[in-house]
Amino acid sequence: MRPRVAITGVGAVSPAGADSKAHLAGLLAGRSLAQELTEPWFNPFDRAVGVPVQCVPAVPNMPRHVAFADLAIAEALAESGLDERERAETLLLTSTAIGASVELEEAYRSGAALPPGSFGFDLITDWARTRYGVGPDGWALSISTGCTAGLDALGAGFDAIASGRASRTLVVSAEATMCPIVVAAFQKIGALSDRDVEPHRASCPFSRERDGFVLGEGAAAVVLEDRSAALARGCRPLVEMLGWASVSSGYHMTRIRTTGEDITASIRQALADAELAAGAVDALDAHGTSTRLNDASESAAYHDVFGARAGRLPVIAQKGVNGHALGASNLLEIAGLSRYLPSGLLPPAANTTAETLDLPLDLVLDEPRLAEPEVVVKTSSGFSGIHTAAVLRRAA
Amino acid sequence: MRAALTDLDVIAMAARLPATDETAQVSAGSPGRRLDLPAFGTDPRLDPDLPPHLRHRIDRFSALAYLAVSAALAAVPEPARPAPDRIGLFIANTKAGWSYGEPELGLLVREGLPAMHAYQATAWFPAAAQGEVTIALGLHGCAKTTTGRESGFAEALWLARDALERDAIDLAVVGAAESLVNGFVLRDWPADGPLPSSGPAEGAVMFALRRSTGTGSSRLRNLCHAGRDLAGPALPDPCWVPTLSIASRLFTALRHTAHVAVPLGGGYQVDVDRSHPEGEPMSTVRSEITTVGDLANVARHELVIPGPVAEVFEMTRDVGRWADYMPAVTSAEFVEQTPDGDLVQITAEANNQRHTWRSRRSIDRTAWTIDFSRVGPVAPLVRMSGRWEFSARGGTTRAVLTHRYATTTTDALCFFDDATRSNATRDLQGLAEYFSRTEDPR
Repeated sequence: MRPRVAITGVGAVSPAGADSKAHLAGLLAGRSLAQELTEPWFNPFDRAVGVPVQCVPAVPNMPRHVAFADLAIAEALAESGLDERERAETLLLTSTAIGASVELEEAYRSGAALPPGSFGFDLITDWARTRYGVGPDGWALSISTGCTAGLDALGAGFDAIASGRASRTLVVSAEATMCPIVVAAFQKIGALSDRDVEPHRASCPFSRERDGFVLGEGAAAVVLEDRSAALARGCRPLVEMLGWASVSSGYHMTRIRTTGEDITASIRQALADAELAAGAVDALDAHGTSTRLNDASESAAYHDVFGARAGRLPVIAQKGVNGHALGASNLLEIAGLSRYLPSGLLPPAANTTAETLDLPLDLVLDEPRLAEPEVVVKTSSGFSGIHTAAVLRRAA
Repeated sequence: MRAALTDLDVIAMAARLPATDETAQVSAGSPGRRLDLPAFGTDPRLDPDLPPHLRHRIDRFSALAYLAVSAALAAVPEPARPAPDRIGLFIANTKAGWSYGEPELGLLVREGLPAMHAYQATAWFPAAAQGEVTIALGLHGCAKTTTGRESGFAEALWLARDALERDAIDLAVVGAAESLVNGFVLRDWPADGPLPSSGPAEGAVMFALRRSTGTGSSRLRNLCHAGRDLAGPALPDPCWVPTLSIASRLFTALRHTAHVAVPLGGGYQVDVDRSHPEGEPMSTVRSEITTVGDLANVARHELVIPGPVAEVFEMTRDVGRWADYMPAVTSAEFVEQTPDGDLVQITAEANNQRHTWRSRRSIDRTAWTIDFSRVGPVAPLVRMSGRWEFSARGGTTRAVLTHRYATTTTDALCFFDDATRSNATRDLQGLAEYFSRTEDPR
């Protein structure tokens, strides 16, 4: 009998604010915070749009994504109520897709020296250990799997508890994206929205007007715990995690098969890991990037797995509000899910309306929906043909 | 259904590392400053084994990952190779792809967006290699990239074991793929401090692992975290890329050591357990001569070579190197070469006499066999033919050398019995010693 795994603490730093309550409020408001990027180094661009995180203080000698992670970690640890000894016993799983890209580009342009280690993708691990005393002597994993990185780290944290190798893990994912090389790289391949609308209307998941994503950024931290151990120390679980899976499409670095068959495989395997039938699922939290291919493929996969029910399951698409924070996006969405699920309010997708909805899904639109789904499947896809899915349940 | 694993069979392994004295020059930091890095002198993206369409759109580390993964998978015996959706890939990469990214950043800064190439988005990030390799080789199982600067390789092993435990895959290819051959990434060391002094600055090392069947000859056991201060130093000297040097260390341990605990960095360690089911010492050649006619015999010699099958096969195919490690061979050279075979000329000592002959060889890279037949045998030899056969045994190779020969006289038959027994034994031992001497797989 494998241990039940619960989320007992959540932290989030997103364009909506520097904690998870602000993050939830932003989601429920359903309004995109995207804007023109006006810093001088974006001047050569015809147009650069993003959803930047504002008002997060810098951490000395640490890149911007670690500063985001810093606040998310502090919030998650505080909510889970871990004392010093319990923090030391907690094991770390961190992730980022692009690490210190902002600082590396700044250094390249200025020729300035960099602090040693700036090319590291595991700086969040170092920071959580030294600043918060999390698992200073324990094992840690640093994962970089593009845009599924946050959910992959969550899956690895789940495995650690399910296998009995840990009773508690802290999963962190962070991304800082607002620099020209990142904007240029995605613009060059046509992944970013470039239609002529106001920035806050650009990201519109599952809409027929969708033409690409809007870059976001931020961080999330999640405390995963053996549920019985959490209950024993008087902690109330927010959400339970039941299983997960990840597959490779072996197809294309940026494209997704329009049949959605690889997303289908990830969902089916995650349900098998959770020992649940598709009929047990009540809602879907989509990757929903607002690209033509992703949203259509995801819809196809939902119909493949859930059949006629796919059109009746509520679908949540968080990137309409927050944009796409690359490797951090899915853990930010798990943080959002951990807040909206207990609240009984499902957040609406920004910018998509009943008139523009392009795909046969029950996308939550316009305003928060009163609903109390028990089991939610979270899907995610990333460059390199990675598709990851997780199954979560509202805490009893 | 999830099931805990303590043992993993190593059924193949492959390394793509620069030669010991090979270097690549890069410009680093201040203008005019040049460094010779221990790296491939020729860009690995030009390697003929790399699919041509990848050359201009990937970083060096992804090219090396492809070459090592494909070599490791090629060495997996067919019965052990599962369907593509049951093969996973777990790669440590800690420095990303700045040999691609640095010039692109330069183009963006100097010339603007139109000058940049579209592949920056897919070539630079650490997960680029897992994507390009799974796509090029058609793998559909779980694939992950780890980035712990010291322990990234151990982390990849950890995630591979997780995937095997949750029954997501049946075969995991695990390793490290890195390249520091660019000036930008060298800024990761203080400008006024010493640079690393050991290990390669680029390369890839891969291991093919599966759940232990209890019959494999090479196993990894008890992957664990022994405590960040308890597992001992993973590496004695500052090295260029810890993940690569640590993976190389495990590669060497799997070749040469029966039982040893290998530190993997960051407090991780794994036990290497290498056994030989038949119990034969590695250096003992099994020799058997069978009479198959009045004046015709078959001599069969067999030895386990402490190297991966792809490399042992290649060493044997390349007769130009025979004189370096086969004691009986004075000289050997190609006379003609085609993709499927060659004509070679060999001079060797046999029974204290020097002989020169030519053989026509047929090469089968799929079956790991080399058939040979002597051209124009001179009486009393009527014919001399045979076969080299190689098969993977964990990270090692079983080599079987068979000679089939016929003579006109009994004395001549005895002469060739003695010559083949002596020379086949010495040559196989020389091959084994060559791989044993290679302490560092570079």
